[in-house]
Amino acid sequence: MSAMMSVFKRELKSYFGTPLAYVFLAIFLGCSAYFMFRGDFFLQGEASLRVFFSNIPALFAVYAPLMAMRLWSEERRTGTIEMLLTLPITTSQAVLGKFFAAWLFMGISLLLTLPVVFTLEFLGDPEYGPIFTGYLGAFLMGGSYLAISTFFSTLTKSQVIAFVLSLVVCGGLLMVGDPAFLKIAGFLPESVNRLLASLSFTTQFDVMERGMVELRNILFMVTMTVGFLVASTVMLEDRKAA
Amino acid sequence: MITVDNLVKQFGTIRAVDGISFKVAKGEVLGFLGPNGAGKSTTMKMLTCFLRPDSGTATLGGCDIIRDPVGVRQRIGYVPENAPLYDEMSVESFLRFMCDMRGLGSGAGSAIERVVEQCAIGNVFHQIIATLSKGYKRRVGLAQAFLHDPEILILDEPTDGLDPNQKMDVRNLISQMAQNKCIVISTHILEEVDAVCSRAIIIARGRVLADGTPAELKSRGGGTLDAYFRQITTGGSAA
Repeated sequence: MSAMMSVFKRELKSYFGTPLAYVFLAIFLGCSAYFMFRGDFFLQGEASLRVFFSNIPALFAVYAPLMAMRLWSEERRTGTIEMLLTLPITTSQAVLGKFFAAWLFMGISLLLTLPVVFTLEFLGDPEYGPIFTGYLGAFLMGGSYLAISTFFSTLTKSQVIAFVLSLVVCGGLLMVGDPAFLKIAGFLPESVNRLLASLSFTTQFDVMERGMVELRNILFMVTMTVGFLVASTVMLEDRKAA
Repeated sequence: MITVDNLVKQFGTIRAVDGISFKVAKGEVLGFLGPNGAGKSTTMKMLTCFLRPDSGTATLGGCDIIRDPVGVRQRIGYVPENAPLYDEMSVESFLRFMCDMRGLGSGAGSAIERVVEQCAIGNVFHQIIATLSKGYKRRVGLAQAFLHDPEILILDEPTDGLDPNQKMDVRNLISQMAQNKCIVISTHILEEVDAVCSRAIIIARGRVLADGTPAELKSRGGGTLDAYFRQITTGGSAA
């Protein structure tokens, strides 16, 4: 347990110690603000974060791969994976330690968007329920994306390849629920369509952002997260030297 | 302290390690010799529970590498090939991190003090690892392995790529520690065997070809270790 904490702490420190993480953070905050203002935040005539949250799935689909690409690829590239995984720690503890560090950093990024909430409070009388569930949903969804990106990071020495593969999968899981995509896929049987839509983070997150917390949405995200973390552990165990 | 029993590891169609067995006792420094690609590193990776053997097993300090990998790792100090380190950390924070990983707790301070002196890295203690010379990096790599004062040390080509003075330093360090530890050191530099090892094993193509004290091996090769090494690793008739 203490070994897992040390991995967690080291990883978190390295986020704050590298300028690149701040650059990504700035890009994330900048984009979230830009898309919000462009998306009629002030013109919608209601004090809600609907516009803000509607951009989060797409933003996270880029941000999470950026955050997680280095987690294991870098260990592979420099060979430190051999040192780390010959210390008294199990592979799953190492995977979790790194994942939680990335997730916490993502949580901090989300907290840094709170000025948007203060703006709302200043402008009107927002309903806090949907805001809270929206943030909760965003945090859980971020965890799933990070777990997916962690998985691809365990596969390769190259951060770029890890990033691209994660982006494709995160983006794909986003797109299959998009109304435009579902229209194109209209020729498919109804049941396939519904399955695709339910696999999408857009669909799952949409519910939470509207202020509803349903067990199945939370379960979906938690299952995704746990599933990809287990897959990462298995992959590392299996091809450590690759 | 180390018992290796018929380890086998296959990578695709290549049998990197093909049934290696040997024993190492406390106080011994075992030289693991062989040409590049002989299976030295692969064997060491299996002993440190980094790779899982396809068959066979080994016990280190009473722990089985398959049943109790974490137990094995607690008991060993390992310096992988090229001694990889976290370049962005300072020597100090790196050693602290390693102490945390080993759960040294309040003993961390004195452990760090000890290895810093042993490995003579006091004057780079606050530097970022990326800025260190190769010799210093290697010493930090060694220091990391000594932190918890393990009974078993596994060093994969610890002097590779160092200049003659640095090689001498590393060898002296190993000799100093030899009495009350069990050390396995891989190399393809034959003079090193003479300098530090009390026993040597020659392997090639994944098999153990010879096992004996440096003096014994030399006499078999007609006086030089070089001649014997070439004779048996190139598939000569002598062995």
